Amino acid sequence: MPRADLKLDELYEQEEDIGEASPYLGVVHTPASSTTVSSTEGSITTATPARAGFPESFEVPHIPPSISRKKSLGQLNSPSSPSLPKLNRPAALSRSQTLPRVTQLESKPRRRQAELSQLDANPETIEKIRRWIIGIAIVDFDVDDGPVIDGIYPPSMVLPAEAENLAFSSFPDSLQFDQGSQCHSFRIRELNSVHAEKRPPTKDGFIYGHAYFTQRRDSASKRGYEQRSVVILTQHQFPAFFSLLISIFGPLFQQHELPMLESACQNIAKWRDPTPGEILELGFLGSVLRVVIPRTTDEQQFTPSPAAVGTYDPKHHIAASSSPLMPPPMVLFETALSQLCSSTSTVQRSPSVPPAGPAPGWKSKTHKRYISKDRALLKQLETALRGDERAKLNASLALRRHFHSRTSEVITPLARYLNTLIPTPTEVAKSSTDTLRLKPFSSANFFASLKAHGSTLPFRSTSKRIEFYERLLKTPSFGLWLAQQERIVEGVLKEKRTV
Amino acid sequence: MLNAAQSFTSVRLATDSASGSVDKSVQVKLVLLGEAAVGKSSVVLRFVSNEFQANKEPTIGAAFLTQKCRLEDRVLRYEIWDTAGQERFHSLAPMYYRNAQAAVVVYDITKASSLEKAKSWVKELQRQANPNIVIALAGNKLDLVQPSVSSPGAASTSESEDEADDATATPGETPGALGEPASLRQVPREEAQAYATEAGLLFFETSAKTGEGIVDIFTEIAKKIPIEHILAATRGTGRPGAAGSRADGARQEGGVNLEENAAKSRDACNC
Repeated sequence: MPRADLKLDELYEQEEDIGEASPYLGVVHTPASSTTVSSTEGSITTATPARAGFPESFEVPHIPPSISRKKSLGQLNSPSSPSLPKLNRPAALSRSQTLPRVTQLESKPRRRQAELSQLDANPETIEKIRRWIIGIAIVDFDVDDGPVIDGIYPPSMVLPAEAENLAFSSFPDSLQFDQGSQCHSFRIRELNSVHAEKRPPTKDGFIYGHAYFTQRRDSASKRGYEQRSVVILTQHQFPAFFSLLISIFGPLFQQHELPMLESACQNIAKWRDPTPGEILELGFLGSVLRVVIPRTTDEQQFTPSPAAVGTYDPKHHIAASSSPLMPPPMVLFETALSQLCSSTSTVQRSPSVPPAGPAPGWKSKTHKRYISKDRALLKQLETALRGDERAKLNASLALRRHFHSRTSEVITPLARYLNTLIPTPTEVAKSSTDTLRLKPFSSANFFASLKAHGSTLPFRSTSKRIEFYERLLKTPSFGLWLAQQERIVEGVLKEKRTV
Repeated sequence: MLNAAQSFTSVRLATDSASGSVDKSVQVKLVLLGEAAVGKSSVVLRFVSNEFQANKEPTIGAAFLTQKCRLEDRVLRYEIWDTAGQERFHSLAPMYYRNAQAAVVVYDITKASSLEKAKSWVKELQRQANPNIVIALAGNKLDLVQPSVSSPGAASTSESEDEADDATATPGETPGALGEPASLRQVPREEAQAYATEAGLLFFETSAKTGEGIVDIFTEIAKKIPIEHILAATRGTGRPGAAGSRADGARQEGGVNLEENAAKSRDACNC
């Protein structure tokens, strides 16, 4: 199937265009050859072979670098396209040409690192803390060096380029105040995996940062201001949870400094493991947080049922991987709401993408609306904007439920069809382990299934429904989703086999 | 003072089915305060795990532990904040006693100065904590002043040896077979009792080592806690003390409703 090769070459070039000068060029090309169909593969180096009969209409998904995963984790290593390049970022990503370079973190021991090294360094405690976080970093603005990491506890190794990136990201882009504080979060790419003894391994190649920045006047400083961020660095993608954590910890740290840092870390050390699917009760600096850990990073986490919304307290019942609910997310697109509500507007978005942030008057000629608006919801949002915080929170929760159900509804026909591709028990019995996998996805068969079973989504017409799925099947998201389903099915089949 | 959000959440404990096993019980935030090395962590460990550790390391910040108790037909769940006694953590204390419905202030009966420290904590709580907070005063290390009846050979390693780095270890040595253990006592029971009565505190002498008096503290607190008030206010967002005046009155009268129940049978915590 030479076509697949061709596409991959294009893909590679495309990546190169945006500056992906991969040092692993050879690696990219070698497995690429395995996309050519061969029924005799079984090589150990190539994860899973492609197979014959791959539908012509299906395009190899373009995986943007932001969602490429670490090979070591084997995540999303598509069985149908094992040769998708494992993109690696250039070894040095310099944040700015205007800032002086941070050369070696170790070479410039900062005041705070010395203080921090006095803290509890019991390896057992540190190991326990590291189940949850990489560390808490203090980032100061140095008149000579710009933002610099002043220290991290528990001690964690940070590569110089990462340190520069972290320090830069820990400060807000622009300030809305003369004196004050604010929280923000970011993530940076882990450049190289570091030995687990020196810092906990990342889950998906990213280090997540949740920062609390403070600026206050300080006549002792040359700049006239003290600017400082305290940042929770973590391997977990739990934005709602860690945003809350930093919002509790940040102000307290500003006030009490090291004893507070110690207290926070001691609390974390006592927490139970962040086991997927668990509901945990975590004591943190005088507060008790109830956190639901997602089963997978892709899980759309629990949102309270309409009946429970009235009593839902986002401060104490946290779906760890959801987006933070404080402040209520709906205020983000307050300005766009009139556009969404007006019947003449052409604004429409893919149902799985929350319409956060479009500018006032934002219109799109390219977005075609496939499904009917949920006018009741829009009405609720509009009313809530004039209401109090509770109304805004409830409306935000309603919005999440809306997107959650829309997403499920989009997936339902795909999942229904995919179920028919799982080998039957008889097929499983007959086949060898190597060939046990989901049968090829055929667009034609999918559309036949869609026609037969329909969809619960309020499509504006049947042709819109077809158009929508035709478009969806061409997206990278679909490719990733399919690859993941294949991996899950394969895993289950292999498990059955070995049992 | 309750705003809309607070009154919304007020019924959660009773009705919210999504929050798992904790929703049926009444959550009681309890804080332990006191000088270093008086045995706060040992008191909690005895209460929560019925264990005693001779050489406990000093607490950093505050440890969080929970214990569920049954009192008559009520289920209470103590959320316990066991604070560090060390001086450098003292400024953090308000964060732990904020919104607390109960406090146990611990001193060491073999160290007079620890009662003075306890008094200053009580004062701070009465000034700054919730107006209706239930405070218990616990004079710990009772085992040190009692003739050791169990095993004469075993030297009585008190919890006072813990946190030795705070240089607050008990004066004197372990009581010998013919020693006068009572001589170690520096705080007479009557003196502490009189102070507690005057200040409106529950009072106990305890030994985390033998377990004496430990469950009693938490039982009596449970009886005195204005549970209806906690249910009416809210854990978390609400400040149970915010609508305190009414409950405050109840407290003055000795926690009426609960006392009535408690009078029938002196049911200990089921723990």
